[in-house]
Amino acid sequence: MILRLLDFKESVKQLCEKYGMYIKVLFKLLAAFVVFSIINNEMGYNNTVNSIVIVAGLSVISALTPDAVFIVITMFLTVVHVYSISPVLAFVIIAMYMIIYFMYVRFAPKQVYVILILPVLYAVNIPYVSPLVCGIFMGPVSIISNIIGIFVYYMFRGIIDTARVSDGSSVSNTVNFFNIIVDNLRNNMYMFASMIIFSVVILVTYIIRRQKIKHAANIALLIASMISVVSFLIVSAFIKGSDTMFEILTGSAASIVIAYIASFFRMSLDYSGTKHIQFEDDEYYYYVKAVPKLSVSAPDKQVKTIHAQNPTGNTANIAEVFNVDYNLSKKD
Amino acid sequence: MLSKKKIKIMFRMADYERGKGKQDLNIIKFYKNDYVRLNMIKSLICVTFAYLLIVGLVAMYNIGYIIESTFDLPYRSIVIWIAGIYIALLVIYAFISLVVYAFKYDKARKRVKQYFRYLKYLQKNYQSDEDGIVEG
Repeated sequence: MILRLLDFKESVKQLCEKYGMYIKVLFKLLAAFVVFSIINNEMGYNNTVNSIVIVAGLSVISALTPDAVFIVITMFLTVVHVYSISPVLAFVIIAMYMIIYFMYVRFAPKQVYVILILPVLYAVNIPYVSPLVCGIFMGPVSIISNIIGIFVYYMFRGIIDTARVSDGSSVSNTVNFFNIIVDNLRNNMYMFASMIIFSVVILVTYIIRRQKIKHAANIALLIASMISVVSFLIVSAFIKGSDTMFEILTGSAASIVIAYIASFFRMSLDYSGTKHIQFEDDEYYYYVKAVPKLSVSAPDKQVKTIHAQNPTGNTANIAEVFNVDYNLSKKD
Repeated sequence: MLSKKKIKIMFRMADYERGKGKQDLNIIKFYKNDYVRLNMIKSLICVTFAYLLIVGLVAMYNIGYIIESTFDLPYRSIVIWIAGIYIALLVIYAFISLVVYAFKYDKARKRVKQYFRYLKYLQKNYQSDEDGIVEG
């Protein structure tokens, strides 16, 4: 079973190395489409950007341009939706994004993906996967990005919930709107508990994963996920407005499976596929195509059939004389 | 003359120049102290800007109270608090910048050193090719 999985892993790796560029574009296209659809589904206040054509167009743009464009488009979409219900609040959101960038993302640019992906994971009820995967792949630096991600999710959750019951048409309403959201955030004990649990889970996963023991990553995932499930269940019993037990259990189960798959398929993160590079010296132009060597070859199976031989009476056949199954001894 | 080793090295150099090399060579233009200080200043400016935004948001949250008691506000203690937090933030971020950018510089220097080693090797080889001592 494990061998088959390893074979599968190798073939996936080979595929990635061979068609890396196309797979990346396809993956980005899919990811962008899912993220934009979820944003529209959750916040759809602006009818213009709600249309499937716009979503598809933005996804294609995201897929074909650098990652930064995808992030900017995502932020832009959220701002546009919030602008439709309250222009002042949209400026507040822009200010929040700027604060996050200036105070954190500038120092750890890759962490922006965690901040972006966490609200999306919350929307599909598997946020618990984030600390597990971050603990395995990134380490303690991602604690802050997880905390910010949780904050961003609950901020938007607050906006969505508040927008349902009020309209922010006048300025005074808008200021009230902002105050209600901030008050909700301040009183949201479940949010703070989630931040603490996520931080602990990241630390535990990271520390165990770094130990020099066999299957460190798997043990780390197992222990950390247990801590996560138990802590969230305890917290949900004491804090009002937390997720239900069913949500926590199903979400955690799915998260553990996803984290395990991610850890199994763990490849060197800066892997590079086939490269085409041009350079020159005084005498030649070089157009070099470099193809990475593959570490494991395709499974090499040889099937040998062994069957008993009837005695022929031929003494030249030494195996027959000594009554030894020659086929077997030959195989050894 | 074409030489396998030379092509391998040139490939590695070109690959590096195309990727991290661009950034590394820009970093290595500075002395370590200058690079760290420059980025520290940039970080402090960014933090100042972010802090202004935070103060603005806090003021917006308390706008009702501020308008109601404009003349009774304890301005002195408010200013001391704002300045105190700002200075603490500056100190923290100065330290973070120092660590992050010193680490970044050291890593870049290590990679650039290898790049220059390759460069030297190539220079030597081309020189000897020209002199006709060694054939490629």
